Amino acid sequence: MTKYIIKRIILIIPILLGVSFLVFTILSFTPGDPASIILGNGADQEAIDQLNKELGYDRPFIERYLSYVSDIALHLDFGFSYRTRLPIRQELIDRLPVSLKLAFFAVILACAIGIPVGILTAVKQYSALDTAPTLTALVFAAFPTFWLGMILLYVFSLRLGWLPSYGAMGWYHFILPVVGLGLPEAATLMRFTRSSMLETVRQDYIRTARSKGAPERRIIWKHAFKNALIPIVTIIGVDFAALMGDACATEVLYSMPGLCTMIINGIRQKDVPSVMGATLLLTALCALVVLLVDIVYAYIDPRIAAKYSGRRG
Amino acid sequence: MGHKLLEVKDLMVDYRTDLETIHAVNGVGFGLDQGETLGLVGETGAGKTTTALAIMRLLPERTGRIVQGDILLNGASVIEGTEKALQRLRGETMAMIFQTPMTSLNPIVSIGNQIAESILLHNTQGRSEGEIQQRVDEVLNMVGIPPARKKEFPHQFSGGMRQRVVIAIALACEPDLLIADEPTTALDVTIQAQVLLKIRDLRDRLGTALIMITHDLGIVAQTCDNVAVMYAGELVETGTARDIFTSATHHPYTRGLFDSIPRLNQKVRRLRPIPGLMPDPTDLPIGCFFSPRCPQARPVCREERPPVFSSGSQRIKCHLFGDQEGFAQAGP
Repeated sequence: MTKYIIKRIILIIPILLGVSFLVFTILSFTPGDPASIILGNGADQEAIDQLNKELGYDRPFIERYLSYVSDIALHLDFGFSYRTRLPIRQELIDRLPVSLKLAFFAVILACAIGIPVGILTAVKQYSALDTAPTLTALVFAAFPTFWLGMILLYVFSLRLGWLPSYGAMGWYHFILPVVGLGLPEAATLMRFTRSSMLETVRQDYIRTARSKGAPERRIIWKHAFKNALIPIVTIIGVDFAALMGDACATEVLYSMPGLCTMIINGIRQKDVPSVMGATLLLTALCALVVLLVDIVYAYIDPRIAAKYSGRRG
Repeated sequence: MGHKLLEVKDLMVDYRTDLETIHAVNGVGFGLDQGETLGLVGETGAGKTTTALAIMRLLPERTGRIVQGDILLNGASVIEGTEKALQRLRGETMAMIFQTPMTSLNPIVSIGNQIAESILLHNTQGRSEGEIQQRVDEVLNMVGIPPARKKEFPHQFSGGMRQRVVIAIALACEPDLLIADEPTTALDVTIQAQVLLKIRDLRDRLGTALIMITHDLGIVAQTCDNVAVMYAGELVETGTARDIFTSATHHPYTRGLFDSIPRLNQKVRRLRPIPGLMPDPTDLPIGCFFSPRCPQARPVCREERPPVFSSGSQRIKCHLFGDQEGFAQAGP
């Protein structure tokens, strides 16, 4: 198992290299250069060239890429922001908690609502307790995150004034973004839990459990839910990764100093190191979450555990 | 033979969906004494499994309906029993072995725990955790699986071994009634005999009554005291194993079943299968259900439901026996 985990962590390196090359290339070959954006329209060419040289942007593309990668690999140095001249590493450290908290609590909210309601609808299939939540979920799953975010912002900040509309200073700043991000996710997760449970309760081993005389509650939780959990865990992992991306709209909407706003501002200002740093960090996070999901699998399903450790089976 | 353990009276089971109603079991009645073995024989779709599931009250909740009849286990109705009472009966008084050993075990629970669950759910003797584990070891030994492997999971066992685990689960509480639903159909031929022997051996050792559901007449000959031949949801012929295998008179369907088996002592060029297919259970024929395929069908067979005629222990549901010597009408 440990060997498997180490192998998987090493495999993240080529992913990071691929992503970094792709993003770096796109940023470098889009028109414009950082200096002319920083100095504005009226600046003369000499000043622009001078600033680009200072920033190291005058060097050829390959040279810039290689030195960027080697700085990270050798010194964990993510360079300096073109715009603020501050080290990217510090900015990443400052912004990471905001993004993590947002995605983490949104996933928690999605699980807390989606999984129990999903089980309930499956157990009470075809009754009102099934149709009502399923229809509600359909509506919420169809909401775009930014739209729901705007509605929440309008109702709870602007109209009612209960919650702040921007920033990430205290926990209450997170309520609206987490709800806006988590609810559509809860809807997706609920629908998924429902279908996974329905699939599981039809299995032969559920009938075997009944034939032993197991009570319904035990059958649902001990036999059906644990088996249904395997695909649900996958979805939670994928959701977490997707949330990191979805969070862009939310972070911008609520002006939260997270990694996504860093990327978006960076793109606008052609601040290559900012975009690169935040993107790579998000990529690494997603890869780690996927790995975590795979490890959780092994705890739930002995067949997968056997595959990881190469035992018989 | 001991007292009546199970009595199935005029059982009718339908599967109802929005689209159609399937008449799976149409008036089946039989009794089973303590320690007796009954073979339930018939083609796929004859309603054998449905009858078994009805006895266990494990019919699919949404579609399966017991329309008529009663099932008495030790004199008490299973049909009127509450869910709680049924949970006590299942596993403790009656148990079932399913025909799909590959999927009948929970893939993420160790086999030891799956057997232990059965004991734990019916822990009337107040066994401690250690005693339960001891019982698990005992049951595993009984079915010939080393207890050392009880921490392993179903995927680490072969089909034959998994079926033996299923048997161990079924027998863990020493039920009075064991229903074996085609226990060997899904298994390799080489393993079939082994599993059958195990079931027979355990039945003899524990004195369990057994309903052996099968379409294999060879299995019936080896294991059963009594035999019931099922066709389109009803019993067309019942009798002792001797009746079924040696009597000269049979229901045309039973005859057809025997004719479609190759014999070693006769030179047969071609087998004689029963022509045609089982009737559509959503649209059963008016007269005898077998009449569309019956080589001896008379006009009356296509118009009236056949009565039951009996001779000794043999009972046959067929119009042909109305004027047969030695047979008397024994029921509708």
